[in-house]
Amino acid sequence: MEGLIDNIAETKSVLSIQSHVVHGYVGNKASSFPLQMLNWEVDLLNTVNLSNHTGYGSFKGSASTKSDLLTIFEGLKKINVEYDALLTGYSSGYDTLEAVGDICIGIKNNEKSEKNVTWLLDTVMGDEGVLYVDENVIPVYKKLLESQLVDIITPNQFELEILLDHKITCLETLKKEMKLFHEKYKVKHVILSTLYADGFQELEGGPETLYCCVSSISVPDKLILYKIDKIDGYFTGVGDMFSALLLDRITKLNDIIPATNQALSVMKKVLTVTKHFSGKSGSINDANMKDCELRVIECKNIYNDNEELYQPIFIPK
Amino acid sequence: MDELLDGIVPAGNILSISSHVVHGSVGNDALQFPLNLRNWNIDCIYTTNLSAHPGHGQFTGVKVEPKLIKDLISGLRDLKLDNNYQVIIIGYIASSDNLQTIWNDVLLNKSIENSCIIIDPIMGDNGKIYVSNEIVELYIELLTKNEVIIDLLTPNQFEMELLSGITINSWESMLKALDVFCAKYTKVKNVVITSVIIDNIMYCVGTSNGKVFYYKVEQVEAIFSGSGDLFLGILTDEFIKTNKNLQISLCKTINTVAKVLKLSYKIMKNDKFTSKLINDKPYIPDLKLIESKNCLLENSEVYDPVYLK
Repeated sequence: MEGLIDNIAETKSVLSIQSHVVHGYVGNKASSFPLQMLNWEVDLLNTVNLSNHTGYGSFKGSASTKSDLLTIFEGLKKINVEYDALLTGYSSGYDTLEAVGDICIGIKNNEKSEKNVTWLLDTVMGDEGVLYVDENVIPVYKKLLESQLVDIITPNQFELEILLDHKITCLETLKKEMKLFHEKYKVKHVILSTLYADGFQELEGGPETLYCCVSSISVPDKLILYKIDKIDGYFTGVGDMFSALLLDRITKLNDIIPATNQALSVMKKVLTVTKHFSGKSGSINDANMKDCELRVIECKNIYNDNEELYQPIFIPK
Repeated sequence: MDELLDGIVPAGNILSISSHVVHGSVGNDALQFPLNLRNWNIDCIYTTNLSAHPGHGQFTGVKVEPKLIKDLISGLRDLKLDNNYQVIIIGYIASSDNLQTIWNDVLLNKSIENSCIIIDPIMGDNGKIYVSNEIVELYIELLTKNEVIIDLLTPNQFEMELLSGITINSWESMLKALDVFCAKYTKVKNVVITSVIIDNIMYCVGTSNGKVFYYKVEQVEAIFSGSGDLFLGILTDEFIKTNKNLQISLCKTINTVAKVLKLSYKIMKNDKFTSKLINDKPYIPDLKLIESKNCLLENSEVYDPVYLK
C-alpha cells in the first residue's frame, strides 16, 4: 500500500443542479457518472424527482420548490462547501430557475472562496420548435445571463432563437448575434449544440446534417463549426451528457477547439454504443423506450478518450 | 469504431432505496459510484434530500414524504420498469411511514419476485439507536411476519442485538443470538453482521446455509461516515457475481473496503477538515471514492474464514 497516494489524480468539484429520474439517463443521471469517471466530485442538487423521463409517455414524482432548493443551499453555505464549477440544466418552472440562479450567483460571488468558479448554463427550454418548459422561464434565463457571471452556454438552435427573440437563417446574422453574448452578457464560450444545415444557405448537407457551432472570446475572429451526421434513433439525455463533457474538457484543456472536438467525439462513441445495444431505434412513447436509454455505464472507459474525430471549419467573423 | 464495443457487457439493474445528500458520500451517494463502476445501472429512490450528512455538523433539507416514494414506485410500475431489477437494495430509511410504504409497495409486490433482496436494517450503532423507536419496532414486526424472502440482511452488532434481543460480547453469545435470529426470522437466507467487537478485535460474521463463520477486520486508524453504505454496495456486487457465495463475497468486500478506507485516510489525514476526533481517532466525514477508482475495481484476495459452526 506504500505509494498508494502518489498516482492519485487530483479531483475537481462541481455542483450539478439538474433533474433526477429514478430510472433512465437524463439530467443529473446522464452527467454525474461521466464526470465522476473524469475525476470530478459531483454534488447533486435535484430540480425534480421523477420516476422516469417524459419520453416514456407517463411519469410520476414531483418538482423541487424554490424554497427546497434555497434551503439546501443554506445548508451548503453553513459548512463552507466550495466548488470549481457549476453545471445547471433543466428547471421546470420560473420559481425553480430563479432559485438556481440565486444559488449560482451566490457561489460565484462568494468572496470567502479563492476558487475561480466556472458556470456552464445549459439553457434547457426545448428543441425542434417545441418548448418543454413554462414560457415564463424565458425571461429568467435572460436575467441570469445579465448577471454576467455565466461562463459557458450550450443552447440548441431553437433555444438560441428564443433567447434572441428571432429566427436565425444565415451565418452572417449568427456572427453578429454572438457579439451580444460576449459583449453584453460576458459569456466566454457559446456552444450551439445543434444547427440544422437545411436552415442555412451557407452550410452544406441536408436535413440529416447538423453542425455544432462555437463562438468564443478566446478565438475572437472566427466561428468554429463541426459537421455532424445525425445518428438515427430517439435518444434522450444527449445534451445533458454533452454539457458535462464540455465542462470537463474546457476546464482541463483550456482550449475551446480541441475541448469541443473531444466532447463531440466522446458523444459520438456513446451514441454508437447506445445504438448498438438498443436494437431497433425507438420512437417517443414506445414501450421499448428503456432500450434507448444512453448506455452511460457501459461507456465508462470512453469518457476520458482524447481522440478528435472532427475537422473544425473556420468561418471568419 | 467496432473496437469500441470490445469487452462491453450490458450493465445489470439495481433499485437502491436509501438517503441522498447533496454534499458528501453516505447512503445512495456512497454506493452508486462504486456500483456504476462495477457495471450496474443504479435506479435510486431517495429517502432523504439533505444538504449534507450530520457528520458535517450542520445540515438542512428534508426526509422524503411517503407519498413521493409511493408515487415514484407506482410510476415505475405503470411502465413495467420495476420487474427488471436483479437486485433491490434497501438502506437508510428515515421514518417508519417510509419503511411501511417501501415494505408494502416494493417487497410485497409480485413484480419483484425474481429480484434478490438485500436489506441493511439501519437503526443504530455502538449501543445507540439513531432512528426513531417506531422504526426499530416496525423492522422487528415486519421481519417477524416472515412474508418476504430476504436474500441478505446486513445488521451491525448493535442492530443484531436489537433484532435478536441478545447482548453480544463473546462468540458464545454471538452463536446464541444467531440461533434466536434464525428461529425467529425464517425467511432471511443470509446474514452478515458487521462491526462485531469481541475482546477488542473487530470481526465480520456471516451465516449462510447453517454455517457460521467470521473474518477478522483490520481496523483503520480513523472513523469514517459512509463506510457501511460502501460495504453494502460492494457486498451486493460480490454476492451476485459469486452466485450468492457469502464466504467469498464477504472476504472480497472486507478487503476492498479496507483499501478505500486506507486511501481516504491517507488523502485526508492532513486536511484542514480532519480536525475532529471521535473516540480519540480522527474523523473523516467523506470517503474519497473518486480517487479510489482503482481500489474499487481491483480483484481482492480470497481466503477461508474461520468457521464457528
